[in-house]
Amino acid sequence: MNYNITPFEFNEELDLEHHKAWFLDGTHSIPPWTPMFAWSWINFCRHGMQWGAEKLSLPTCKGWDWRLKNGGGYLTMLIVDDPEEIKAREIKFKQQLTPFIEDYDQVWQGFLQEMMGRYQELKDFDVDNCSNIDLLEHFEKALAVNKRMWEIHMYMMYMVFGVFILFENICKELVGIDDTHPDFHALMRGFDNKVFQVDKKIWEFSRLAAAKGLDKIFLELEPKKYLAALQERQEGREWLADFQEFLQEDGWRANRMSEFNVPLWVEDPTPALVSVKQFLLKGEEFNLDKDRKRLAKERQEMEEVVLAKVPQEQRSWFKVVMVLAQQSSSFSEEHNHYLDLYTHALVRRALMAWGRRLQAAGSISAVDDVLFLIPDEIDKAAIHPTHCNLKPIVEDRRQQWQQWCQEENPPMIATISMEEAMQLMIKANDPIVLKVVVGSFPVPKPELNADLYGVSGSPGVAEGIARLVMNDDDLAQVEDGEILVAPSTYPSWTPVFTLLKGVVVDRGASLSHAAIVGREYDIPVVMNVFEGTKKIKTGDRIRVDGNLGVVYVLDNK
Amino acid sequence: MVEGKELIFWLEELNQNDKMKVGRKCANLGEMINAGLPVPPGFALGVDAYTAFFEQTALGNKITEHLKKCHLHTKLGYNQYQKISWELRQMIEEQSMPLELESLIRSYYRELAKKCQVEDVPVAVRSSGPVSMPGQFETYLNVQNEDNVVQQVVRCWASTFTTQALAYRIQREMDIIAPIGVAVLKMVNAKAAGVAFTIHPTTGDRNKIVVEGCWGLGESVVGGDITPDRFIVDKFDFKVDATINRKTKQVIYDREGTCEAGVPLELQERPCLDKEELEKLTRLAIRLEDYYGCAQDVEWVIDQDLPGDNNLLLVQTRPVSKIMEHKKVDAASIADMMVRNVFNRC
Repeated sequence: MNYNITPFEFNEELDLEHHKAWFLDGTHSIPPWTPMFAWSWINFCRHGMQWGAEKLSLPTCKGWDWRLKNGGGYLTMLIVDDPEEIKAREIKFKQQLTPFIEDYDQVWQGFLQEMMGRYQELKDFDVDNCSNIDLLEHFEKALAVNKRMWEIHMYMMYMVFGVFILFENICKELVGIDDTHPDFHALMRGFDNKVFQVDKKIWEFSRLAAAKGLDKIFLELEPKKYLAALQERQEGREWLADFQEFLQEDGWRANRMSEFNVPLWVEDPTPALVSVKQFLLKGEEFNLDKDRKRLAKERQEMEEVVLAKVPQEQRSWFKVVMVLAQQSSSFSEEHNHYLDLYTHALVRRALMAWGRRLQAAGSISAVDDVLFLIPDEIDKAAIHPTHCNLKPIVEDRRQQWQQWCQEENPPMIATISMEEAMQLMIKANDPIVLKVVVGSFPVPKPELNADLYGVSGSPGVAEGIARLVMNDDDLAQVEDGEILVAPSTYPSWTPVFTLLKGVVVDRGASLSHAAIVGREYDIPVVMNVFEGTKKIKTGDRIRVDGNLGVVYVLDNK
Repeated sequence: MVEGKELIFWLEELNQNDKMKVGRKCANLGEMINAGLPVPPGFALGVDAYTAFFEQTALGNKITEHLKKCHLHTKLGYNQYQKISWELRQMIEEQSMPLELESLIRSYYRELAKKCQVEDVPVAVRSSGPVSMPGQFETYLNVQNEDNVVQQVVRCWASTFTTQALAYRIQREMDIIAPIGVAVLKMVNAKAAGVAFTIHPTTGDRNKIVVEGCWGLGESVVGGDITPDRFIVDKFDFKVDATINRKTKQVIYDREGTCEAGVPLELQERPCLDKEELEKLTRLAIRLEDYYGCAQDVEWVIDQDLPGDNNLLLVQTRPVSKIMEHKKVDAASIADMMVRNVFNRC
């Protein structure tokens, strides 16, 4: 069964002929995508990946191909296997890489400026007071921005992750530490980035709320009652007005990154208000500021230590690669804010405008029915919506989606074993695969007698009560001093780290959100334990050892 | 004088948009003055002055005629280029300046001397190309009195015909005349000089300013032949991490240019910047970075002729990325490593 929305839908017979294994993108497509998002991902993310790999001329990989099945995204590597072709690609690749090595900032800032200009143009457009033909044009522009965003996203990511892997490798060779070693983590922290800057503003709002006596609202009420309670009081209304002004600048994001079906902070500030609550729970201090100075100092000391182990004549380029790897770590975190989240927010804004119009005209029943269409279908109804019935299409697809949300998509569709498939994947040398999809596999160390074996994302040891968070709805329940256990964590979750003593995630690698943020908050993070969310329950007492990469369940609730 | 031409300017009349008009060095100095930064006082000759000189004296034609005799269609060797270069420079340096142009330069120089309150104020005459060109055009230091200034400006123009520059233009069939601007700046009587980066150049830490300096002129810091003092200053609390090296040598001016000299024993182990000077430099560097919006690489000088509260001058600033260019070699080897190490054919 399929949505029937694109030629990229999985065809078992044809698609397994050339590619023996397809992997589910669990990071982005669990739960399954709605048709509109699936359509945009399959078209634009896939294109961006191939664009990035081709423009850079990656020697061994032409990006990934994607298929859609049951709302899940399945991917495979486009491996270059002709040695002559690889050789030719290597030459061009080296040329492409040079400006990036010489001036990373200029490359990234250039892209950033371009995107911010495009966003501004979209934001300046009034989606509610315009003709249908103008809204259609605006929507097409938003889709073009989406496409361009993925080009930049993947071009940057291939370079950035590639350099990061290079640094890991030379660290192993020259210094004898790998990316899960505490010394390696020390090199990668003590940096600010846009995500933290947004958090800091939210923290400032939490202090303002406390000063105005509004903290009780956050600490005593359910999140969904925050807005009404704030609006009841004069100080509350003032505070909220300021907060919404801040969101107009930095609130172009939803708590789920890879979907259009979650309200944006600018639409409904409740998730952002939950972050305010988390900072209030923590009290007056903004940990990041306090910690960053110390971490930056420790980092500098560690840089000296590491450099001393590098042969004199190799130090010059080693330093360059080290700085690039450090920038990679910041990029990995902040690109989500500037790229995925921002773009998807503006596409959603255009989509919701269509949803309201199509619903008013009776071509769909509910505003968010629009997410069960594809752009061509919006186009079909756009000019004369009262004369176009899209309800049956929406009805069918919504049923499918709901059913798939109940079932789990298989992690792999293949004609070969998981082991052979992994070998194939590694052959592509694709940095994004290695850093996001695969990660390092945990090595069980029976002598430690641990309950879960993973890899270290951030050093340190912590003991505390576990809090299982399967999705953002559970975030509001996190209490001070708990240890977060989740499938994986996302950029909008960052403020919750202020409360945490440690983190355990089922999947992740050294450039995952949980690792980067955990390092900056100086709390232990253990990743790639695979079964953390199955073996640990909320209320269990656990010990997270970020130095050894293991987790102990001390007390079952 | 040719109508509508822009022959001469005070530095403060210029900004960074004037690169094509007066060359990069002059435009940058003008921009720095606009940013409220202390730079040595001076004036600039526009590229139009260069063009006017070559047109009005018919030198342009003479050079073209001369080159016709040089068999440029055949492949020339270094010695042949050197010979042509020498002949052309000789020809140019012997040419006297058109009167109007000369009197303009004289009157600006007199005005400058008045401003500095020094009769026959010593100046540096520096070339300022609008585009980056191989074969550095020359700089004449310690130039005193009107006659010499006029003469050195002509020599500066003639220096666009150095062997290397000439060969470059001929081999690429570029215009043989390559107009440049010229900066005439008050000589700084340097007590100490050096460079400052508004970002840690090796770790990339943006919270730090790294200052390197030594006694005398900055040339030795830029050139890297004397181990300078190094100060790492925190941009927020101004805490200093200083490495003071024994400085036995310094570069100073002599009659024609510069020479190496010894450093008095009592100064050898003393920091070349005191606490106040370092703090002042740090504040300036922060302001500079704010103004330009990106990390900067600055050349600074302490002038011993000026009173203590404004003896700190900046002579050049540019984005840090530019100075990282000497890392090109690194970039190539890193790219190589990426291929071998990350995208290896297994």
